[in-house]
Amino acid sequence: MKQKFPQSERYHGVVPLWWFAAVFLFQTIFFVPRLIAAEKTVIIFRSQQIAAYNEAILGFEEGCKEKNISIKTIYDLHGDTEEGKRIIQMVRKDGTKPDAILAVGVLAATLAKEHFSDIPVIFCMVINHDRFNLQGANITGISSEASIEDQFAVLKEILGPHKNIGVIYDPLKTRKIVAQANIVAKQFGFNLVKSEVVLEKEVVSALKNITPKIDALWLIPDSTVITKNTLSSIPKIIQDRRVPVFSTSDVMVKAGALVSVSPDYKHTGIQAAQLVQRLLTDPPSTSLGIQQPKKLKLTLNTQTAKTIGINLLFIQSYPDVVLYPQ
Amino acid sequence: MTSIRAKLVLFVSILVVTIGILCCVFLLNHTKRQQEDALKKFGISLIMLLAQDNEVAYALHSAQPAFLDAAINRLRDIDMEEEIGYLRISNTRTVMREEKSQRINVNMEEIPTKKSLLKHHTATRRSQWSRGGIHTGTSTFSFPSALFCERIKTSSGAVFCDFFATVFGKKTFSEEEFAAQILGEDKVSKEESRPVLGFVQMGLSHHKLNERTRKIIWQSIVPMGLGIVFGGICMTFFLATYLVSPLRYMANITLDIARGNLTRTVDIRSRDEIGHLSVNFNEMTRSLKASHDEKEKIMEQLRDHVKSLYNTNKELMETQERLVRSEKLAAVGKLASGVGHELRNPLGAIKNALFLLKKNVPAAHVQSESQKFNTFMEIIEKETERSIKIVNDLLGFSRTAKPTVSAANVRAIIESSLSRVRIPEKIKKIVYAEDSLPSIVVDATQIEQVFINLIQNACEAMPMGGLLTIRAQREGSAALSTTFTDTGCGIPDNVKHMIFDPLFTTKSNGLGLGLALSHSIIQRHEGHIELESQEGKGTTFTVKLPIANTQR
Repeated sequence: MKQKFPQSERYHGVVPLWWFAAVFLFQTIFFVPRLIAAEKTVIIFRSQQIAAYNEAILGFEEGCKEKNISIKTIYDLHGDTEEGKRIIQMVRKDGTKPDAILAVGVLAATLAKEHFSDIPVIFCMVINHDRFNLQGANITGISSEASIEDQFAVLKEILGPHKNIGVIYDPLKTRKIVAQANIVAKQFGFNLVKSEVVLEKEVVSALKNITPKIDALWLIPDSTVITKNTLSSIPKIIQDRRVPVFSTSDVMVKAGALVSVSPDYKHTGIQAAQLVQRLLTDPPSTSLGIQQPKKLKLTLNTQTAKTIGINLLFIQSYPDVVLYPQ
Repeated sequence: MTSIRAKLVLFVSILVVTIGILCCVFLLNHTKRQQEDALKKFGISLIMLLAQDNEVAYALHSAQPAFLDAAINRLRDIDMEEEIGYLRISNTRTVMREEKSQRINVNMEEIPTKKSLLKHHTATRRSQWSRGGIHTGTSTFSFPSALFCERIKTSSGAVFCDFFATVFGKKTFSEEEFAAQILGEDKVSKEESRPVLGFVQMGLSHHKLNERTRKIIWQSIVPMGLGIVFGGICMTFFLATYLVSPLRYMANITLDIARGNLTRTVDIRSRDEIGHLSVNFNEMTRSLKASHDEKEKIMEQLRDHVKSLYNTNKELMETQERLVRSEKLAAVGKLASGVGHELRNPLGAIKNALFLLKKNVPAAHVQSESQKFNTFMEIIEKETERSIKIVNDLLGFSRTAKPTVSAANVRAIIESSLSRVRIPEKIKKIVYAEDSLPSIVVDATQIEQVFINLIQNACEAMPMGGLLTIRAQREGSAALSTTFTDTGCGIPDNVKHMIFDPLFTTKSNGLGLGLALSHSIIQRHEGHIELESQEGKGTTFTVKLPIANTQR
């Protein structure tokens, strides 16, 4: 018997180790797969490689951290429909079904909506999303433009009320936005002076006609109005006529517009991640609709302000204000 | 004279016709433009369908014309009106398919090819179709990136809308380009490659367009133009009638007023300029009538004044005449009285001496002494008697006494006068005098003397015989007239005014005192004596004497 005691004493320090090992093994065998199984996967379709899209995806990745959401793959559709279709067909054939899809850009959003009706699709960075009928039980997203109320609030702060705000638009593309803006403008005490164009070449003459009647030009994202050609001609005309331009894109401000209210693209990605988490943890029975971007940034062109003669000093101290040129 | 209505109708009709023609021309141009736009839109949809057809792209890519059949058939199915005149599909090297309509005669060699189009568009204005509209502008042409459209006319006269489109190998997503534009592409290195696989070219014939245009012209434009013209003319006619009829009505009223009917008024109650004109016109007519009435009143007064003046003048002249005559009578009476007194005594002495001479000389002695003596004695006696009578007449004339009046019957005076005058048998006398005639207040002796003078004068005026008519009758309520009418030689006109003057006589042995005396007597009785005579036919003396007051 004595001899047994020494043996047991000899293994006395090993038992806890064995115990610990057994428990670890048990934990590993039984819980880790469960944990792995509980992690949600998302694939990202990116329409093309542009900085804004990448920034949004970066925000999404950041937002997914600690939310038990993993990004499985990022597909780039290279801005080409056929290629996009081919990639999506390949993803479907792969058999791996993600829990959600993040579509960044209009091409990705429209193709994802077309090909995935059984997986929640969250889109972002889709300009004028109203035009593409991105609606359905499994599709939701975040608007890429600040709401008209937010834009007009900034405009009112800069210009004051009772101003004539001009807008040039293609009724086939942005009629809905302008109609909505017409209602909102009245709430803010603005008079919306509208000018319809159907061709790019009409933009310059429309701009020349409308500038004497307006106090500011509201440049909405309309692909007939904003083109490579007009981007070069619009700033020149408005600076000659000293009309402040209000836009939804900081690119316009860099081109010569006075001010823009646009979403923080990175935060849009974070907001998309929050939306994905909400969809996956508590799936709604109906569509969540389209959310407005929660964080906006104000881009001011100080050089244009100086040229036109508008004092923007009071607004420069606001948070999330980007000044150009820096 | 052209009426206002005719002028208005003519002018407005010309205006309406001009407007109608201009409207038709405008509508025609608009319709043509619309039809051409519709044709171009149809053409662009067809050419875009063909250019974006995957089979076409594959056929061009693989240079297999056989793969074009399905796409072309699809195109022809859409073209139900068979407006496609020709079709040409080519890759970058050669023409792969060229078709033309069997119904339209067109020589494909006349249709500009890809190379000529490219060359053409490099240097000239181009029409670029995009989203249903045409871009026109001058720019340097690098490579066809969209659709071109131009009008082509062949040598056979056929007109086509020629569409030319490029078939690209890769389709880009323009909205993503726009997104890159909006969101910024400065950090993006993206190279779009759009390999050109070929070109599609299509011509749409204008013959259907012309047919449709002709149909619209005859079914819409011409009826509308005629409607405008005839409607406008009818409306103008009615409008002109409506405007002018009040003026015509007023013109008729004006004519009536000009003829003297100042009671006419214009009855137009419209509240416009014509209504105002009618009110003013009526006001003017009323003023005119008032002026006319006043003028008539003044004229009436003037006539009365003239008449009164005439009567006064006449009375004045008569009074003057009476005065002159009275003066003459007075002078003659004075002379007669003097002469009578001076001559009556010698004549009496002559008469006495003659009586004594005739008494003292025995008749037998006288007869025996000389027949001649007796004759001379008779002459002396006769002339002496005559001289005495003259002297007595003169004295009687000068001693005419103031009449002693009393009521007398004119018939009795006439009969008495007739009995005292010896009327020759060859003169027939007729007296018209009723017993019921009223009495006159006269001196019957003097009036009888007047009547005797008038009867003697009448008898002397009818030496060859004739008719003496005496008529007494009532002259109004206050006078009684007695006319003495003979059928004698009458009194010449040049002596009528002197017939009542004293010492004026047309007789060889008259003294010229009878009618003057008669006139004087009648005047003293406040009566009148008037003469009517026609030389060769006879004379009428009318004596008017006042009736007694109790007889009136």
